[in-house]
Amino acid sequence: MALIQANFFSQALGMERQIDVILPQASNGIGQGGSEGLTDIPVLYLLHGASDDHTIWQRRTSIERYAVAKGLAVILPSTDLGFYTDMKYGYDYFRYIGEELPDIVHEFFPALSVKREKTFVAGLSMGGFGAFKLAFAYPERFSYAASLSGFIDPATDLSAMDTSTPDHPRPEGMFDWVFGSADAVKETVNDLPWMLEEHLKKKTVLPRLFIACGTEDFLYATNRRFKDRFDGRVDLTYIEEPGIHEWGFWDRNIQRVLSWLPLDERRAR
Amino acid sequence: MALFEVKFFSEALGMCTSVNVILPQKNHGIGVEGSKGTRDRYPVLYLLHGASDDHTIWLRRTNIERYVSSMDLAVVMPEVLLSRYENMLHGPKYNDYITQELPQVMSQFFPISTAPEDQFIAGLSMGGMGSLKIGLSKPEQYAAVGVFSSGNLFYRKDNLSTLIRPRESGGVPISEAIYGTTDQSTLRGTAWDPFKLAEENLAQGKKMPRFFHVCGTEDFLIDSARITRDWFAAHPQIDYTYQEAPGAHTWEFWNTWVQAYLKWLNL
Repeated sequence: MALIQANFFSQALGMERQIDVILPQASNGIGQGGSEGLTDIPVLYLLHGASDDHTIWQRRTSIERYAVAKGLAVILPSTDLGFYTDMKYGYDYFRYIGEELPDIVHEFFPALSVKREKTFVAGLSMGGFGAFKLAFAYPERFSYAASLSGFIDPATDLSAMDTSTPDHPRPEGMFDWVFGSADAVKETVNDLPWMLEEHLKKKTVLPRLFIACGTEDFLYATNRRFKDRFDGRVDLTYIEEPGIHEWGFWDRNIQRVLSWLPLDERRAR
Repeated sequence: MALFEVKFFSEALGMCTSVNVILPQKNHGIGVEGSKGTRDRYPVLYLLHGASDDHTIWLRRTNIERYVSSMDLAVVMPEVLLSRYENMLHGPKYNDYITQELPQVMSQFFPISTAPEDQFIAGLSMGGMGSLKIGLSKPEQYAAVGVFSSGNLFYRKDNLSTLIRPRESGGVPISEAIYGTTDQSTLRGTAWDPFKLAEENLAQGKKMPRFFHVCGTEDFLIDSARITRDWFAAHPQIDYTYQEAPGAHTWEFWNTWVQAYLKWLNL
């Protein structure tokens, strides 16, 4: 695999930004096979959580090694503390990641697929929210979406969680910067259960969904509630197991996500 | 413009290596122009570092990203350690890497052209001799070559000792690892010699790229530069531009002359 740190200007944000890109190669040095088929390469957009940035998945997991084995390219953007949202006070991260970034990726990396069946999104915590938000906002673009320990129901949970904790430090007022208020989330693109209900009414062709959450995670009740509400109504793979909001859980479960994705293992050798 | 730091496995070298890549971008921030967006694949300048430096040095010591920002030109900056861009007798095959694998990898990763008329190569000092050798030995792959503060370094009036860095360990000097000898005057007329390779290519009627050559009058390599100028004078069928200007082996000189080279490309 090649690791590419990209620096470019984002029109949506009005400033320079970085992404990291993991690209398959025909051969990879010792201890690692190469990939066949270096055109129309499947792509996973992989999103970080609140407190982190575009480098974190590489530093806390072996995502490059897991992706190599699948012939998968990985795009790692950053939303800072912006929740993949056009912030009330701040920056238009949703326009950036939802609309501009796919064009930028296509502009610079023509070997990557733009087909729905080869375009996936996943993330953890705030990035789990981002992954489902992208999937529900652009169901025609993503065929699979995975949320690990995701903050997937802000309309319900916002008020209760707007305080910093030792486990999850965050600036006071962060949700105000991003959303304004819990009420302002309701029945918008940020209200994920509502978005899903709307799609079900319209019989939209939806991405397949994957949820994993630790039973000791502070977001467990949120994820369990989502599962109980939508299980059987959407194509949902749900995993819960002992665990909290930590990287051991995400390292384990991102590997399950990659196994769940429809990747042709023959691309890797 | 966008800047990419690429780390990938090179089959030619048998190891991971780093490349910095500048690509035109349609959108742009303040104070620079964006790409006109008229090309599917960009013409490309392979820009080579000198001995002591690496793939980051052109970005750090010049404003290369700004200079190409209105040109719709990609810039690829590889690293070759101290290898002189050669297939080393006792070391990795850097010539194969630069001339064969790297263009293929760059076009695989990025919207970069591999058409010969879109290939440019230039460098300073060791990278200048690398560009000279690559342009003369693989003439049909490149459209225009830039040689800054260098020349065919096998040709000098002195004994070449200033080019040989002793190793404290007593290990084999790098030039011996590359060429099998520390006396580079013995390489004249051999298969290592850019002039020899050029004469073979000219005899076969191969089309040569254009050459842009500049050296500072205070540069310690001015000898080799003038001998190279004289060789080109004896081969007038090659489109060759030579200039001398006040200056030594310094980044002020290269910052000035890389801009002159880009202008001379006339893209």
